[in-house]
Amino acid sequence: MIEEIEQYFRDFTQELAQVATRDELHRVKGKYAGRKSKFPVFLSRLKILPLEERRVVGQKLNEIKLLIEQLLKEKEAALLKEEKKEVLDISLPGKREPLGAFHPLRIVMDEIIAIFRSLGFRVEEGPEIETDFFNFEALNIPRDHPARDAQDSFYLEENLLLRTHTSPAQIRVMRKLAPPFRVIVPGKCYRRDAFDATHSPMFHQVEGLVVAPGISMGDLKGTIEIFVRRLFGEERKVRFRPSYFPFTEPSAEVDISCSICQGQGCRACGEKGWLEIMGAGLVHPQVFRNAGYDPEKVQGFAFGMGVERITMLKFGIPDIRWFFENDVAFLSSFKALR
Amino acid sequence: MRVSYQLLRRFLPDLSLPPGEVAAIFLNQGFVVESIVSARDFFVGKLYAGTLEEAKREGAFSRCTVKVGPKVDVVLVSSWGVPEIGSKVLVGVENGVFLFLPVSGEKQKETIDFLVPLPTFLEEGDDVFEALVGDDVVFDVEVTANRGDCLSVLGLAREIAASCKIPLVLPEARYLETHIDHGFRVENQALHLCPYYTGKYIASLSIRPSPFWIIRDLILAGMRPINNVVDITNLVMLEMGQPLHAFDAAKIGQKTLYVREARENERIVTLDGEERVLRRGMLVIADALRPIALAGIMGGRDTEVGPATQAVFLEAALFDRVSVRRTARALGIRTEASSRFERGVDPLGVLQAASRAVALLVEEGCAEVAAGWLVGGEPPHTNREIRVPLDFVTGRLSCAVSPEESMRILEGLGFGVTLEDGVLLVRVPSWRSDVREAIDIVEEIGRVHGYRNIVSSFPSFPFDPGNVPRRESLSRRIREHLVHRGLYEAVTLSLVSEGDVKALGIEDYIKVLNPLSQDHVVLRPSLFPGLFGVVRTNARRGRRCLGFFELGHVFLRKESEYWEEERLGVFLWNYPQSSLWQRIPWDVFTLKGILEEVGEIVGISSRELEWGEEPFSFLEDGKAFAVYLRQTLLGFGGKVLPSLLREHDVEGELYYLEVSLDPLEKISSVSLPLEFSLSSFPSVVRDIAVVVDVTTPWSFVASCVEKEVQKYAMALEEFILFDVFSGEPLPQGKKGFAFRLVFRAPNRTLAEEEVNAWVQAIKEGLKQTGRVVLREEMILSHE
Repeated sequence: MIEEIEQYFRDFTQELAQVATRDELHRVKGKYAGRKSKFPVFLSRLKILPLEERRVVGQKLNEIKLLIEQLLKEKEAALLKEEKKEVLDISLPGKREPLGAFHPLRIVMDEIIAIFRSLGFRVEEGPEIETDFFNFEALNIPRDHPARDAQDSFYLEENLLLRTHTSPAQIRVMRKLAPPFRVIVPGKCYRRDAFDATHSPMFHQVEGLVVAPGISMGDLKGTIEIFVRRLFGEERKVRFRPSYFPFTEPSAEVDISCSICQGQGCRACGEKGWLEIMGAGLVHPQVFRNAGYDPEKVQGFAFGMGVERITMLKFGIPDIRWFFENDVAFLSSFKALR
Repeated sequence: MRVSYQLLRRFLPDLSLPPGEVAAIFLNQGFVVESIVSARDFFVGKLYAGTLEEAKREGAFSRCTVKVGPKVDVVLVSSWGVPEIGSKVLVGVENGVFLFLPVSGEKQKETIDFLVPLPTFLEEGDDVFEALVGDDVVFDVEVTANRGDCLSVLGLAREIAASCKIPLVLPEARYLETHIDHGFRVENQALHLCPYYTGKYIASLSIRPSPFWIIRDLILAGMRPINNVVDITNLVMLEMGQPLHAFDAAKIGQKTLYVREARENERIVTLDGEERVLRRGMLVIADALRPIALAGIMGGRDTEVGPATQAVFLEAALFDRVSVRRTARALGIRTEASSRFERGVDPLGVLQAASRAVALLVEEGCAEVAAGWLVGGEPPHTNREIRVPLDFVTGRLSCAVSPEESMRILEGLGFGVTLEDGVLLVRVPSWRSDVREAIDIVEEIGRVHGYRNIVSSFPSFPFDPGNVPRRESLSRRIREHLVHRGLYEAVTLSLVSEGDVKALGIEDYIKVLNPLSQDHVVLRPSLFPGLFGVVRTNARRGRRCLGFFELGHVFLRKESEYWEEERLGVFLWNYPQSSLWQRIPWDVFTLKGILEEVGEIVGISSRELEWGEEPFSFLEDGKAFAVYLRQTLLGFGGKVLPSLLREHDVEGELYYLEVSLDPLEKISSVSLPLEFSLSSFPSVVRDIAVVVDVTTPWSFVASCVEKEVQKYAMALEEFILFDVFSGEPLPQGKKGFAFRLVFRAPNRTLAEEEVNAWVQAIKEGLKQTGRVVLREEMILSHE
């Protein structure tokens, strides 16, 4: 009979496990705990058992009965709790403040500044309205020099113009500070170029200038390599090739390997494999003289990079005009940390 | 500068590198190769030898019948350009049509100047493409402004020679002279603008089409063939970099060439048919009567070499680069000659180039060459010697280039070099006027040795404390705050249209003298025009709820004084971003809030800001304000005129705020030691509600409260307005304010009675003004 009672309990636990609603619980309760349960039958059969056996079986029967009642109670409480519980729809939109975005040019400019600051550079400023002297003459670009062709300027007066590059700040910085120093000067520049996909009458540059005794091309190359890897990633290669700027000697153009083909040449880089990102070189002795420095005593390097171009390369932006349209669909692409 | 591989080989017979490697040398030595194009692409795909069957004279033209196998075409040719009947001429065939100047993109014309003669040993119908064009490539090489010498095949070939260690060979320039009593003379009256003028009289010319090899060189270089004399001067300019000019000797008045400055308003019709009005100081070549050429820029039409020319005066000269540049720019001309003179030609190469041209003329035209050169002036001495210590070279370059390599490179480039005690004594060749000091020699060596050999380092430096400018920190904090407030950062052009600025009612502004477009004429005196443009752009693209800001310079002027100032501009358009819920529209108080937030970032309490209603021509009356900080104008703002929005199809409401950063920075840079009051004693909170006339501003109530607080030195921690109400149950014309006072003492627990007394004092103070009624003491209609 003990076997029978245990089987009865197993049946109960099995059925109870299936219960999901209070109605079902009610049914199971009726079947195992009510008057229609098997307990009255078991009790009546108990009476005919021998005394010794009756005690054992009776004890068992009592245990099981209490257990069933307890389990039913527990189940009922669990169901009740579930019914009372609020349904949380976590898929609803969050309560939040709208988030704006920084302009991509400012994002990259800030990053360039942060990199150079971490390398020990100071940040200086220069005016956007410049004199012919600072913008050209002092930089070894006299009037009627063919190098002026590349920098068609907006004039405000005879000798007053919108700076065509951030390089005039080189002279201003040299007059303000005493060497040795490492400086960058970020800012807006203007050239008389009509708008197209790669030209804008206004653009941004970051100028760099390092002046100390014994500065060499190796120092320039090393510094730029660190910068490029930090801004574009470790896998980028840097190429220096000779070029010409009236205010640096030797002069170099700095290219980085195309992110897609790494210098092999592909459609993205026009089969060139390399993309131009800045002009650089050792400060021309004449520029030192113009700034009142003795080129025998100090040397230096300078570089100037176009922020639009770097930003276009970094984010794959195809048209420079997008920067100045400020279409919110474009700007909102820069909400996330890039 | 376009140069073909075959043309390079004329100067470099030992050149065997494939074109790709030649291009790599150019690039590595500082010459960007824009493109490498197969020579085939310059010509039509099929070239044949045709036979001139017949030529019938029709005035100045001849109707020529040319036959290639079964096909025949008839074309009108200027009579001088027609060879003998039966000669072989070049015929290109494209889409079944004959082309007699078979250049890509060339259309067949009704009349042409000449037929291109071919050697007579060819058979009619011979395919001459391979023989004439062959497997050649054309490099388009970008030459930097300092390297005038490389606007020539010679210069570019020298670069390759220096790199490959192969010999550079100059083309033949030998000819025989005869004594001709021509009577020409040269009078150089402008030695300051033309230090050296020379020329030669050449007679017994016959003007014909050039042979194909010259035509080929010119076409590959991007020049048009004209006739044998002109083509030879052009070819030699390409080869040697020295521009030459041939005058028709018969048309030079009184056989005298004057080199002189032009007179004011003197006129000349140049070869391109344009009449040019000259200014005093421009350099011309003139005969006794009139200018006959713009020196170094373009010849005159009157003395042009044409079919009837029998004798020429061949000019080779050195013109001042600045003079040529100024004149060319003033007249708006840019020619192959002017761009070479501007960058400087080799003063000692003048005669060499001229001799090459004479030799070619003799070769082509059985010319008679007058003995000697007519000369005015002399070539300037260029005998520059530079001392360059070897350790200066390796030190500046950061690479271990050997003395032998340095010398070999310089010699390859045409420098004279000797080595003495570790110092290079370098003699600069006449064509390298760009090389002036030791550092220039460093670049020459580095360039050819290769920048890839520079060993990277990082400048060793004494400790520099560096700087973080206050302004930078300030603008970064402001930008971050606004972005986190849901606004987008914009960058707009500083150049705006004059109309947009006038619409702001601003009278004094800075104009660009030479604008490129009417949209970009004025330097913005406010950030409004640019940012309003951003709203318009986005409105056109169907958006209508946005907030923008820009941080940038505005440009101001007072009479002749100009200055720049950094400002913050903010635009709020309708709602904070487009969402269907929480639609609380932006308004004037959002602008005020933003300015207060910015103030808080800087450390200015909102009580320090003084607000006043102020009219602006582009803002709605009664909804515009100006803000002052310690009597300085800090900014302005308000609701943009609806009529302005309608005009530009911008829907809804738009609010604008502009703030100057300078006054903010000045305040923020005063960093006093801070006073902390971190009391842990309990606070006591009391709310007060008052009723006033609608015309009474909150500031009246607030200042009254503050006065009482000061009078009794109350331990007031916070004072906040939390409700403004009107309407039922308040009577018409009244409004109520509810505000909270939080008291806390730094050193003790406040007693109930003490606080009660303070609150009572404040209430009494308010009542005594006669304009404030306590809400609790007011009897309302329904009470």
